[in-house]
Amino acid sequence: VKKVKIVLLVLVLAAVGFLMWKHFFPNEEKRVRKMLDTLQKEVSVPEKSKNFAKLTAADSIAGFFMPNAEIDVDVPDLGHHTISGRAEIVQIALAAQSQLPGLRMEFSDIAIQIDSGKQTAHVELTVKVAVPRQREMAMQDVRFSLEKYDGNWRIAKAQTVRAFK
Amino acid sequence: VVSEEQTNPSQPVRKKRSLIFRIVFGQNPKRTAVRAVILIVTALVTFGFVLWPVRIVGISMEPTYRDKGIASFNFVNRLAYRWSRPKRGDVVALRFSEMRIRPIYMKRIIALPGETVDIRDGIVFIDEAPLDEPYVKSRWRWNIPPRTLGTDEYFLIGDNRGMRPRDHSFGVKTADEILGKALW
Repeated sequence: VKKVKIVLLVLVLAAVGFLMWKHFFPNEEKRVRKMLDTLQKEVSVPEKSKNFAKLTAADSIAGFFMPNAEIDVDVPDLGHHTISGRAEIVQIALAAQSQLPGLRMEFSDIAIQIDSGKQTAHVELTVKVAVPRQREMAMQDVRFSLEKYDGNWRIAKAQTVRAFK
Repeated sequence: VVSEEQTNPSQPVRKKRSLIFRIVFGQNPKRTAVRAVILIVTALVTFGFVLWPVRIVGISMEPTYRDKGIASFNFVNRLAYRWSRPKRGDVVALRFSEMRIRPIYMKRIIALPGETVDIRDGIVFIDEAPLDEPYVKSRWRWNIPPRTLGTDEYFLIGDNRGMRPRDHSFGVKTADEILGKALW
C-alpha cells in the first residue's frame, strides 16, 4: 500500500510539474494565441471612456504592432487603405474609439503557422465586428505576418484576404 | 403471481432492476454498452470523415439555400469527388485557404478547368456560349471580364445574383480546395 501511495504521489507531482511547465513556458503557438486574445480585448471599445483612457488604449493597441508595421485594408465599402507605423495606428485607434463607442471585435477560425526558425509566424483569422445599433456583424478575413520583437510576438503586417482568387 | 425464477429453478436468480434503470440501460446493460459504443464510433466516423455537418449562413446562395438560423443545415459529402471530378452545376463546399478550412464556403461550380468564363449584363458565358442557370431567380447586371481557367481551376459563384457583385464572394478555386459536395 505504501509503495502504491509513493507511485501515485510521484505521478501526481509529475503531472503538476508538467502542467506548470506548460503554463510558464508555453509553446510559440500558444504565445501567439494569447497575444491575439489580448489584442481582441484591447481593440473592443467601451461604451463610455474618458479621453485619457482612450489614449492609453490606443497606445496599447499600437504596442501589439512592430514600429514599422503596415496594415493593408481592402474591403468593398471602405476601399483600399494602407496604414504605416505605430503613430498612424494610434490615430486610427483613437478615431475608432471616438466614433464607434461600444464596438466589439472578435477573432474566430484562427490558424497559426510558426516558421521553422520560430522568429516569424503567419496567422489567418476571421474578424467579426459588432457595432451598437447595427443588427448584423461585419466579418472580414485577415492575414497577419508576425515577428519576434524583444522576445514578444508583434504584428509586422496585417492585410485583408479573400477566399477566392 | 408466480415469478420466472420460481418456475425455472435451473436459471440463475436475476436481481430485478428498477424501471428507470431498464429505460436507461435496457434489460441487458452489457449489450446496451456495446450498442452505444458502436453507435458513437459510427457517428464519429460518419460525421468526422464522410458527411460533414454545416450550417448555412448568409444570403449568397439564395434561393437554393436560405439562412434560417439553426434550421438551415446541410451535409458535405467528403467522398463525392474521391472517384470522380466535380461537375458544372454542383454545389460544393470550399476551404477558405491553404492555411485553414474554416470558414467553409458553399458555392456552385459554373466553369470547369480550361474554360473561359465571363459575365455580361448578368448572363454567364462559358467559351462564348450563354449558360442556362435555372437556379438563378434574380439578376443584377453583373459584368465580369473573361477569365481562362488553369488545368486544375474551377470558377465558383453563389446563386443569388440579385446582390451587388462586390458584396458577393466568388471566383477561382483549385480542385484541392474543394472539400466535397453538398448533400442536398
